[in-house]
Amino acid sequence: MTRPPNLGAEPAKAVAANALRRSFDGVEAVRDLTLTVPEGALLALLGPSGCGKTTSLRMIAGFERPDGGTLSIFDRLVAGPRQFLPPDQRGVGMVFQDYALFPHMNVRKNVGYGLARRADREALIEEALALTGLTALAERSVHELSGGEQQRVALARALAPQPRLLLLDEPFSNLDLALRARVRAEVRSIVKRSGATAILVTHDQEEALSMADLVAFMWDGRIEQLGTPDEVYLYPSTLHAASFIGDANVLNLEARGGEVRSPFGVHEAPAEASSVAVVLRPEDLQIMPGGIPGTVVRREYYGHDQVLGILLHDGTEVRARVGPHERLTEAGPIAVGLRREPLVFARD
Amino acid sequence: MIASRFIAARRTVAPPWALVFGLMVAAVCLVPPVYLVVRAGQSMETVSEVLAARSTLELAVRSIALSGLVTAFAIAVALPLGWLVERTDLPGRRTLGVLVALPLAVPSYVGALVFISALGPRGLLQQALEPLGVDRLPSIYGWPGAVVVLGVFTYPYVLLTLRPALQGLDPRIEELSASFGHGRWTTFRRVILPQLRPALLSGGLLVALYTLADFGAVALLRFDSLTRAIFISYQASFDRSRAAVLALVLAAIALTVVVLEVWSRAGRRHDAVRGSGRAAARITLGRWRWPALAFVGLVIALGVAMPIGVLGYWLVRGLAAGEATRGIGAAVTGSLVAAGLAALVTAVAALPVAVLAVRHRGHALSRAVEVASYTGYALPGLIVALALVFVSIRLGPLYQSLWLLVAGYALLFLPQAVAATRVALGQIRPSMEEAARGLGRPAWQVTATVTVPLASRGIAAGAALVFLTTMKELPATLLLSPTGYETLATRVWGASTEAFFTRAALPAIVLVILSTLPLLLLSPQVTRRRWLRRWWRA
Repeated sequence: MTRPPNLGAEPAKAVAANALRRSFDGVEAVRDLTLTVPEGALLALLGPSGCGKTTSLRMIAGFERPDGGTLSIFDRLVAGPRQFLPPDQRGVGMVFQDYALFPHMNVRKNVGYGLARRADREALIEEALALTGLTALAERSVHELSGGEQQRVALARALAPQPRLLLLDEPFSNLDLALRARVRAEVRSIVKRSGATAILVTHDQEEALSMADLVAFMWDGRIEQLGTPDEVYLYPSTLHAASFIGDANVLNLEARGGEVRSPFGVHEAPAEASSVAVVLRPEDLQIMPGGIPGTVVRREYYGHDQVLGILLHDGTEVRARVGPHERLTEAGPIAVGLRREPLVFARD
Repeated sequence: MIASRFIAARRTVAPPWALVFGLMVAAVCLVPPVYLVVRAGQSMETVSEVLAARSTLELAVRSIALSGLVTAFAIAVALPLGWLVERTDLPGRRTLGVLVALPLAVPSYVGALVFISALGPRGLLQQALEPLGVDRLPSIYGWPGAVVVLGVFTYPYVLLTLRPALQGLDPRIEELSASFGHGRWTTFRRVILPQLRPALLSGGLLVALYTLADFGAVALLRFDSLTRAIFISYQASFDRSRAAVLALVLAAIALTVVVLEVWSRAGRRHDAVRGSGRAAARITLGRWRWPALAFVGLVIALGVAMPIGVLGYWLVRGLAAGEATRGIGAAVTGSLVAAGLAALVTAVAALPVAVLAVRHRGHALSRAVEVASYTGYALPGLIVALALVFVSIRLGPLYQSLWLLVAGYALLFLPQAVAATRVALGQIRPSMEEAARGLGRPAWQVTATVTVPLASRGIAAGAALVFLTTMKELPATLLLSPTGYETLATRVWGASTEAFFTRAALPAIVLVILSTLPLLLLSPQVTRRRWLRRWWRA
């Protein structure tokens, strides 16, 4: 099932969306979806509920007709002015949040559903079953499967016709937490081995960061940032991205003349902005003798690390993530400093 | 979970096959109403003549008055019955609760037949009383007979909507009223009755509609209603314009009732979900339980015991005379063939209508198709049949063919099949069909391989219901059957108009037994399944 990697200098565009729009009864779900997904990538479309990510995915799949904009899949225009290719002609695989397995068919028939007219049907079914480790369960009814197994059937069914593009809509939200981490790694490895380009919709930042090659952060119907997981985490381009992706202390402060003063010193602020948000990741704070003095007011000990609630002397409360070895007590004195310059965003 | 509900409400692209077939079904459904209007427009002279005639106004008033009286009768029976069964410690209330629903299984013309042969002139009661010197009984024909017969066999419609409402009453509200010092009667009038009003209204309007549309009972009981007048003028005269105009009058009245009914249901949606923390305590009847039992017993005697007893009596007499089974084979075959075809055709026709209504509600054409599909619900069977006769006479080959009869049935009972199919489709998650689309199957294949198999139980149940209702149907059967085609219903009718009760007994019993089957499904445990109740209302 693996395809030879694209050896050209410029990877082909699996998806090219330009200014896609869609509203429901006057409410704009997607305002402007402009996004390019390079072939072979696993991209996570990340954002809070209601940000338009599922609608975006459904437009790519062909279940929703865009109100405007254009969409190409592997350089074929599938939606545009007076142009709309129905979902059955797009050759896109999709895994639904509820899996949408056909309850009246067994595993093999589910997996073979998309291969009705293929001569190599049986071989493709076997290949998909093998890829997802379902060979032994092929004759089972889908009711008899566990949640994780059902999910693999959904994946096998979507991958069986060997689509070049695979869409996953919140595929892990119906699994319990203990299973999730394992299944994520499994799904990533299956998708990578299939060679398909994949778009994963999720509101779980940990899922997006740990699974994807690229993260597209969506907010209020628009893509706010596209980058690798470390790029979007370390260098969020907007306040929304900074506060949604990962834990953050957000200090709302006044800026003047391109500068803002926080308890940790003076930082560069966007010129013109008077009201700014200074964003500090808890792990960017560290215990530092001679640093800013404060009091530990809360302590959550996780084992691999601990999160401290610190009341600074000027009344600001911040959270700091420090190593597990620091022996601290609540109400005890502490001094903290910054590992790196904070991110500063205009608030207007 | 919120997300999935959002998706379900989304408007997606309607599949072309559903639109094409849905519009075809809608076009057929619209034949009767469009015909009536066109016909009226063509012969304005007759229209004004008939409308101006005193007799027309009289007929309309009589029909409306009968409808109102029967509705009042049905509510007067159903309200105490429902209250006794649901809210008091009436002895044997579980069994009685099932029994009081059974009169619904007796078609009105069979009910009328039973009453006439039991209480009519030279009927069983009079024969029994003759030795005592009683040679005359009050006449069963006309007003009293029509009101009592239709009332006894339609009150279960009210009961059906009333019982869930009684079960859902919040005991705390009553307790609160009692704590204000209100007596039981005041509490009932000011607190309970307002809560039951939507259910009474909804059930009452069903009874009103049923009575307006009824042909068999009023004809047998010689009550001059619009339906009877339409039938007589259709059969008697060469110019059938009068029948058409009277049909238009009846259609207008029926439509008014339908609009009222739909409107009353729309208002009810808000208070349909009523959380009561616990079941209400049952009221202790004490010494009142004997009169209460007598009342319930009388209703069951008239609605259940009398039909069984009278039909059984005539069956035994007929069997003894060797008359009961003559020609029954042809009638059974005729009924089975016609009802089977009707069930099949209706289930198929209901599918595109239901798909559009469930999956593409926002589409203007879907809405139009759905509205058109209600023709059979709104228009009395007699009118639909009449329109089909007139239209098919001009079209030639369809007239006097079995297919015209089947088309009439399908048109009349489409709403039942659509309701059942809709509920079944509503339970299929849209993602299931989308997944199939996404796997490369065009819309019609998705319907064939995913939607229909998953909805098959509901579709089959809808078809079964159409089958059973078709077996009982009378006026359309009389008008649309090819000459010489016999069914159980026409056999009962033919025998009872000539008072050959021995010949009517066996087909009537078969019909009643067939109609009891779905009612057994409607016993209290099952009535909680809302879709079953909805079929009955559709």
